[in-house]
Amino acid sequence: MKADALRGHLDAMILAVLEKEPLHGYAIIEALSLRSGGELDLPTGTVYPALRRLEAAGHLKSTWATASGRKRRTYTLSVGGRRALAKQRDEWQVFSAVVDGVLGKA
Amino acid sequence: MRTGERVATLERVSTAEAYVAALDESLVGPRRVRRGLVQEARDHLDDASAALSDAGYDRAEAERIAVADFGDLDDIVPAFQTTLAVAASRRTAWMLFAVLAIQPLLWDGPLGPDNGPAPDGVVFAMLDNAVEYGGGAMILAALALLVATGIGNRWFAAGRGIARLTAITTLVSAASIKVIGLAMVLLSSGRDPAAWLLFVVFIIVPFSVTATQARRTLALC
Repeated sequence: MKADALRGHLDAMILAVLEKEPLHGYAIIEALSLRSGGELDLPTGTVYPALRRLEAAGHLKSTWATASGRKRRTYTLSVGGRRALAKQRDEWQVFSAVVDGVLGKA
Repeated sequence: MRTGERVATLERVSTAEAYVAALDESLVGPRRVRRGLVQEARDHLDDASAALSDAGYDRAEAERIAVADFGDLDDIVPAFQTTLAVAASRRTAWMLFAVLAIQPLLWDGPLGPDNGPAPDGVVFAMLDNAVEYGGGAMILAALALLVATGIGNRWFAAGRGIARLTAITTLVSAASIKVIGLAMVLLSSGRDPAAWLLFVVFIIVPFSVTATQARRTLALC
């Protein structure tokens, strides 16, 4: 799958991996890689500006917390972030249903 | 003073420590935000290197792979610098809003034409209207820029364009208010030292400080 297509949904994917628990940056990137089956191929450092942007938008909150004995900046999904994630999921379902309908099966 | 110029490296930066040092040298912007970004990069490379070491790589190779995965400085520095420019512009927008928001209290109070006999003349009336309507527009612009650099990210990513717009709006607003204020003080108070003191304290100083912040923001864009 073209990497650019995945990158366009990076914000939604970040919100999704934070749905269950707060995570620090490296853990978020690992979760993205795992859940995308390794298809999400982008310089891992580019995730950090995205995290700051989502925090400015009010979708995430961050605090410095201790994880595995190390102090790390940890991100949590906010109430607004959960609403945004739900909306993104709805939009994706509509989009994928439309594309499925047009492309059909081989 | 940091120049923002990336440290010229003839050799590829391969160790985590050297990478973080080069990244730190390359970034310019609000100190707290910059330190936070650099610390996150350092923490990430530590975690990635540790995970690769656990997977069997020797430490040097683990760091090399972690640095390569993090991204070339040519790609990462511009992205981080955009974050810093937006953070600086948000601070600029807050400062502009704050210095503008107190102006109606001042213009209707100690600096205003109601504090003593109002000067006659079309020019003073025009300046008075410019302060009222122009100032109101500037306050709305400051609020819009605050939204754009904050929750506005929900609809479009605030980047260097917004940061540049914030800085330019602030510079124009600061210059306009200072010029209009100077003209009004000259026309209304003449040589009254108290009026001049108020003008300097409530107009010149805060708007000059705000303009300095705006110039710094523009330099980051």
